[in-house]
Amino acid sequence: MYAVAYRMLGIRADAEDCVQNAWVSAWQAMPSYRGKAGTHTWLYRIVTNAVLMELRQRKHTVPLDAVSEPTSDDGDPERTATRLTVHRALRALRPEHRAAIVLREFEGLTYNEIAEVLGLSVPTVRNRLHRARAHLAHLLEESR
Amino acid sequence: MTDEPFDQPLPCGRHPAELIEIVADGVDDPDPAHTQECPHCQAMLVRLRRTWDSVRAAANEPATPPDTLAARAVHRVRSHVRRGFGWVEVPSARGSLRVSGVVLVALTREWLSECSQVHKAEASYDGERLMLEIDLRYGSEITEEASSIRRHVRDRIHATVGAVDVPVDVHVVGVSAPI
Repeated sequence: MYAVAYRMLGIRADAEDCVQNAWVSAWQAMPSYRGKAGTHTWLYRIVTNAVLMELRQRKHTVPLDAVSEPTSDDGDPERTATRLTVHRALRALRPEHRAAIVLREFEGLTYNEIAEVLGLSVPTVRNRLHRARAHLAHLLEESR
Repeated sequence: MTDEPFDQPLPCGRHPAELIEIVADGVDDPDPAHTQECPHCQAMLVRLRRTWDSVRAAANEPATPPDTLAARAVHRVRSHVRRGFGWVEVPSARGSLRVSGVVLVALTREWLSECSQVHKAEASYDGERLMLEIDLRYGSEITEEASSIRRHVRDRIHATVGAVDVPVDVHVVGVSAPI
């Protein structure tokens, strides 16, 4: 849950806040959870919704750490720079595109799972992923 | 040959979406003979592979939560679960007075909005301790500001609820700058 929130938001404090809110939401929603979706899909949905809500509310401020920090530094400046470039490009995507990319490329969810998490049809997920990936590729090329 | 856009059909008529899926999802190429011969598809594949190498490198980066996150998440859940059960007991010679934790949290949010250096705040009460999670504005002296916030909330509790000793834990979890 933290990884999804951090990769979508790029700011650790906000990611931590979202995860805590997501756990509260999960607790509140537990009585209505019927197990139709897998538990991990259900938790992904809850944290993704919490992040999207945070992004909608985040209109009037620019976070100080707008450039996300890599969580690890392997001592290879080129690799660190690559990771930062990807995270910057990721944050330039629209929130719903960012969610699709994070769930697919970073979390390795299948198209069916992403459809369940985002409450969309599989063709819509495929279409959204295509647009998100095309935009991401464009941003990454631009930043070279 | 100029770089073709990623979201428009290539001059050969093929849409990059198909090639993106080959590179990103590892699906089989539905038309390998064409891809082999087509300079546009070949050029696009080279660009996509280079791009997706970067994405994969970033995806391999671990995003490890801080050690304290699980405890804070449990605390926040517990404070919500206990909403109806958490109380602050106010000593009185004439009888008992209990103020619900929900009321304390709602009041605390108001009191925090009076602190100019607080950018964003969350409050919770688990029946024993009041926990404040604060995003400060850039430029605040953190230790001083945290003490000042704790003092402000404790003063407000005393003025509003009464002479009770509610421990107030302040967690500074972020710093943000207004536009």
